[in-house]
Amino acid sequence: MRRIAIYGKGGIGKSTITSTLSAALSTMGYRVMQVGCDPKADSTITLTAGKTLTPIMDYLKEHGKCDSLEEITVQGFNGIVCVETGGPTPGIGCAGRGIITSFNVLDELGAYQVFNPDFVFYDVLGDVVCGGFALPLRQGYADEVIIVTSGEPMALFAAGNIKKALDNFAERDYAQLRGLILNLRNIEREEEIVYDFAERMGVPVFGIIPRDKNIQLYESRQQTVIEGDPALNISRSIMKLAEQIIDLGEAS
Amino acid sequence: MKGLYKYLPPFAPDYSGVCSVLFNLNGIVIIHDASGCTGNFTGYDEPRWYGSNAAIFSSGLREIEAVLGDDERLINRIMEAVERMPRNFVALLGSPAPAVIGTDMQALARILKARSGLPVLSFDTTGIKYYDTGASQAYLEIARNFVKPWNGKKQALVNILGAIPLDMGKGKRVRDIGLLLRQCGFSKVYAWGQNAGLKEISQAGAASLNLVVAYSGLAVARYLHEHFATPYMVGIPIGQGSTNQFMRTASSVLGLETPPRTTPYLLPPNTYAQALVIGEQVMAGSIRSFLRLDWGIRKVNVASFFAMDKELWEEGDKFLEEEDDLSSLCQKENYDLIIGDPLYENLLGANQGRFIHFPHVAVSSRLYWDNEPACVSKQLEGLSSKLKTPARRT
Repeated sequence: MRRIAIYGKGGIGKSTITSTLSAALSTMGYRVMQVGCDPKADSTITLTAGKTLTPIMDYLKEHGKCDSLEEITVQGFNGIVCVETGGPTPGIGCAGRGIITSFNVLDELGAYQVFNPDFVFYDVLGDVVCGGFALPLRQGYADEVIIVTSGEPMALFAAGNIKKALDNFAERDYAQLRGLILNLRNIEREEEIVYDFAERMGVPVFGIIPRDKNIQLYESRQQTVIEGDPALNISRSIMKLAEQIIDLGEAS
Repeated sequence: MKGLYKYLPPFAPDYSGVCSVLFNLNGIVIIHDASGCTGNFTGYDEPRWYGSNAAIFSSGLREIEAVLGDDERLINRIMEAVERMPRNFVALLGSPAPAVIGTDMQALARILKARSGLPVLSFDTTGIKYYDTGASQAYLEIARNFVKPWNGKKQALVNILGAIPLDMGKGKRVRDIGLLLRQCGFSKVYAWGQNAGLKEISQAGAASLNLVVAYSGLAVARYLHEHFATPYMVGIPIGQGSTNQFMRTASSVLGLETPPRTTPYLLPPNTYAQALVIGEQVMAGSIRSFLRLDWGIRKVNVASFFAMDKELWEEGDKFLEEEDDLSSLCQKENYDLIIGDPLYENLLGANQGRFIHFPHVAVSSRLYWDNEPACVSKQLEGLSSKLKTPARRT
């Protein structure tokens, strides 16, 4: 089982890329589980095939405790296991603790043993803003981290902060940063900027996602481009990225 | 109101369960808290605290450290303590504040182990779960960390698992069980959480038998069964009938025989139609056996606010999630006889039979811990006289 946490600045396209990667890997025959770690609970929206997925925190709020994985998971496109931690409404509560509590529920219910996925993706909100959002990095959860960025300064700043957090955790045996995915915003010299940044950080850029209006088109139908039309150029790019992620695992 | 506790005090929390198990093991135990949790344990959950030399500390967590996640300060403080007082191990426990900010106890334990060279145990206690969960984790951790491999012949050694004061009181009951086990042929009787130190615990693989006297000892008994094929029995010998069974079973493990005894019924048949025992599941189940075997009460239910294991569950038993559950149960069933901590009395309703006090330290703390009823191998102290003249409902 490979467990990969996807981090990056808010709005950079983490959920879109994670879901599309999940879809791509599933079409290659891998069992995939995607855990959205965001109070908005919208990470897996393009994967659930129209089924209703109850976020873990919503379920706990309603019922107090959860005794069954069926209540908090949906098997969506190609059998991808979809989970959303959910969290408090904006302005109240503690979203970080929501992730901790949700992960405890998944552990207690033996989710990883029951579904036995080949790949688990943790799609984590924004930067590592507090202890709760660092939980996917801890021993026992993700082993690898991938950061999604563009060439925009704030996206690179966020990527730098995530790297800094990982460096701070060096003594703790946390997940290792594997590299960057560049989600192009089509700014000037974007690839050059990001490759320079990656070199300074000492990590590779192992995927470039071109801008493509088909992503939005199929998102509006609650699908990924892989599900919508695997023959599209953008779909092929992401299949190629998925293959690179598989190769990363085989290389290590 | 659902979920509102109007009559009962807060029960002993998970970190108290951990501290209680580790109390006599000569370690440095740190609760990562602002000091209230530590004070709760030392002041209300641990009758052995005053006069002891147990090294149980608060980390003295302050707001700024919590907000900034300043774990380095905690690590440095612990290292200072380690250098000042040579001990066997370090244990690091969480409390509500670290739980909310997501302090990674396991990671801190790895760092502390690397820096100190000592075994470091960590516990994700939150103060929200109850003592039994914490104690269960603590027993498992000390087994995983300190029990040595054993491939030799089994010895006349028995471990008593679950024997912390929060369940078993100040020690007399455990000593009484120890005396019975010695009569059964066991030369070594080690009660984890009471008289057993790490040296004794390290030999656990050589045991011929493990005796579980509380829910908190079940998980470690299963662990020891899995790793050392050590059989375990569950229950406290209360009254004549249970004690006979207990001694027969324990002796048979060593290939010895204990002469059968008669089981006198002290009550006329059908004095009580149905009874309820409220409390920790193993103790309550043991009282149930006593009521059945010695007093012939056929229907006896167990109800508990604490964790209940399916293996010990009987039809009619009830896990209590809140006060109202207990009140509803009593209204529904009309028990002739109820046994439980005195603090439950206000929840039983007016239309009940006799209520017998059987204090549980995890519930009523120091209120009654100096007056624990003796029970091992005999009738529950103070019960017989009351039961001879039962108050029947009309």
